[in-house]
Amino acid sequence: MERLSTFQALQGTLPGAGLSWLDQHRRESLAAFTAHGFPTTRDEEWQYLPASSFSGTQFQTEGPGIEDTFDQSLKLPGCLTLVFKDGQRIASDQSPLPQGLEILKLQDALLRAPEEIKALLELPEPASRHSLSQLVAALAGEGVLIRVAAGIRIEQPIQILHLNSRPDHLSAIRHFIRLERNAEATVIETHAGPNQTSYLALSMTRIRLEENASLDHYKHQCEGDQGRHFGGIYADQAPTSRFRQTQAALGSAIARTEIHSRLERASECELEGVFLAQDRAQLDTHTRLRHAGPHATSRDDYRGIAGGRGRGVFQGRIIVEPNAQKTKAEMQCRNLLLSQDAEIDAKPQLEIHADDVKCSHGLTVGQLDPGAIFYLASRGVGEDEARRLLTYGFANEIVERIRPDALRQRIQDELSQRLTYPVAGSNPA
Amino acid sequence: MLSIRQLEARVEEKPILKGLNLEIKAGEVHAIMGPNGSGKSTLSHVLAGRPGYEVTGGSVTFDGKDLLSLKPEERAREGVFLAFQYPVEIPGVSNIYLLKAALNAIRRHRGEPEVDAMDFLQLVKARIRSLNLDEQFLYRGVNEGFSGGEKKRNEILQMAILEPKLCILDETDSGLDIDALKVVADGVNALRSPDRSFVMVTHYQRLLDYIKPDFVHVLAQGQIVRSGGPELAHELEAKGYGWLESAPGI
Repeated sequence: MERLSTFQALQGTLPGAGLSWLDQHRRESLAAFTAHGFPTTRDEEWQYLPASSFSGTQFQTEGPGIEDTFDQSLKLPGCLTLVFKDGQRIASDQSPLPQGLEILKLQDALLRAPEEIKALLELPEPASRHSLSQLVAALAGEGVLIRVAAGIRIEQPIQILHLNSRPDHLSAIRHFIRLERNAEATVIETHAGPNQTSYLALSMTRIRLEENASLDHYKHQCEGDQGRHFGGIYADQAPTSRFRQTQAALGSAIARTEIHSRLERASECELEGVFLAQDRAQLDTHTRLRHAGPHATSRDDYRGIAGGRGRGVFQGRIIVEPNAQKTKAEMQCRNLLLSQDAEIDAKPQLEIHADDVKCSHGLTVGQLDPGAIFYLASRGVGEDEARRLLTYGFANEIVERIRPDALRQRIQDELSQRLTYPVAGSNPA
Repeated sequence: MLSIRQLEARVEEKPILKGLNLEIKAGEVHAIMGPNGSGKSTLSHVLAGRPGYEVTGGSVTFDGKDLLSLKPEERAREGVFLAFQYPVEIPGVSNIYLLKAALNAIRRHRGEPEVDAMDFLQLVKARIRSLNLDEQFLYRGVNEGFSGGEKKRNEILQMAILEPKLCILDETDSGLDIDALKVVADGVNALRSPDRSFVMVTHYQRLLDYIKPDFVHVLAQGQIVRSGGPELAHELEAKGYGWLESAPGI
C-alpha cells in the first residue's frame, strides 16, 4: 500500500508518540490493517455490508489549517458541547466544568494520565478487530477523556459534536469515558457533515462504568449523503452499573455502528436505536452484548426503515458466558420496508453457555399496515401523508423516549424533514 | 344528503350487499340494525371507501356527488366520517398530531388556511373536557394502549374536531360499559344539528336509548327489509331477528 509510509510518518507525529506501549499498539494496528486490508463478505461479521465499500477514494489525513467556524445550530441547547471539526478539536464552552467532571484532550490525557488510557484500552471487552477499528487505532490522535468522579451526578448532558467539512478527508477519533463508582452522566455524540461531499469519518469510544455507575449515551448520526462513517462504542460494565445507549442513524452513504458491552454481575444494559436508509444509503448496526456475570439484564430494541434503494443491516449478538446464570436478555428488531428495491437484513445471534437464563429475540420485517393507512384516509389524510405519518410514528416510538429534550426535538424535526414526499422513494410514475 | 340506490357490494368475492336502498336527509339520525353477518359493517366500510370492499352495482350520492368515485380521503374531506368499531392503534404519532393533520387536510380541501396553533389547542381542549378525557390523552400515541371506552371516545373527539356532515357510527356501543356509553352518547348528541346526519350501525337496541334515532332500519341478507320509527327497535329487542329472516318475501 502506497499510503503505508504516509501513515507511518503520521504515527510519529500523533499525540502520545514515544509512549512505547502506544507506539506498539499503533504500529501493530497499522500492520494488521495493511496485512488484511478491508474485510470482505466472506467474513461473517461483514457479510451484509462489505467494508471495502469504505475504501475507494484516496482519503487524505492532512490539509490546510482548520477554520474555527461551524454550524452553530448543531450545538444542542443546554449541553456542554465539545466540537471536533475534520478530526480536530476546535472549540469548547469556556465555562468552568461542574465539580467532579474532568474533560481532557486526548493528548493531555496521554501526558498526564497515560496509564489510565492504557488501562481503558486493555479492558476485557475488546473492540472489534477489523480494518476500520484498526485504522482508528493506528491513526487516531484526537479525542477526549471524560471522567466523572465517584458519587457525582452530572446533570448537564455532554455533547461531543463531530463535524466533517472537507472533501476526501479521513478523520479518526478516539474517546474515553470513565464513570467512577456511583457516578452518573449523559453523553451525546453527534456526527454530521455536508451533503455532496465524500469523506471518511472514523471514531471509537471506550466506556468504563465502575460499580453502580450510570451512563446515558446517545449517538446521532446525520452525516452528509456522500459521507462514510464508522463509529464503534465499546463498554465495560462493572457490577450493578447501568448503560443506556440510543442511536439514531439517519444520514451518510455508508455507515456502520458497533455497540458492544460486557456486563458483569447484576449490571443493566439497554440498547435502542432507529435507522432510516433512504435513496442508496447503506446503514449497518451491529451489537454485541456479553453477559460475563450472573443476574445481569440486557435489552435491545431496534427499528429499521429502508426506502428507495436503501439497505439496512442489523446484526445483534448476545453471548452468555457459563457463569452468567440468571441472565435476562431480550432482543427485538422491527423493520419496515417502504419500497420494492429496499432491503433489510436482520440477524439475531444467541450464544448461550449457561443453563439458567431467560433469553429471547424477536425480529420482524414488514410494510406499512393498509388498515392504518385507511384509518388515516378516513380522517382526510391522503395516502402520501399517511405513509409519512406512519413511518414517522414507527421511528418515533424509539425517538420519543430520548430524555434530553433538545436532542429528542432535533431528531424528531430531522425525521420529519427526511420523510418528505414521496416517503423514501416510492416514486409516483 | 345521502342517497343509496340498489347498492351491491362484495368482499373477497362474496356478495354481501344485495340491492340496498336508503335515503337520508340533513339532520336525520338513522339506526341500522340487523343480525351478525347481515352486512351492517360492510355498509359502513363501503361508504367510507375501504379497500377490499368491491362495489358491483348501484349508486351512492352524497350532497349531489358520486361518492363511490371518490378516494377515502376525498370522502372524508367532503364531510363523511366513519367512527370505527375497532379504531386502529398508531404508536409514535400523538393524538394531537393526527387531529391537526386531519383538520388541516380538510381545511385545505375547502380552500381555508391551516388552523392557527393556539386556536386549535383551545378548540381541542374544550372538546376533550366535554368528553371527560384528560389533557394528557392528546399527547399519547393514537389509540395506543387505550381502553375500549377511550378508543370510542377518541373517535367521537375526532368527529367533534372535524365536524363532518355525515357521521357513520359502526357498532360504537360494542365493548362499552354503561357509563362509557353515556359519555359517548352525550358526545354524539352534542353534535346533532340540522345540517348534520348520522347513520348508527348497531346490533343492540341499547345505544338507541341514549341516542334517539328518527328512523330505524333492519338489514338482513344484504337488504333493508323493514323501516320504521324508534318503536321498531323495541320490537326487535323483544322479538329478536329470527322472525324477520323467516318473513315471506325475503
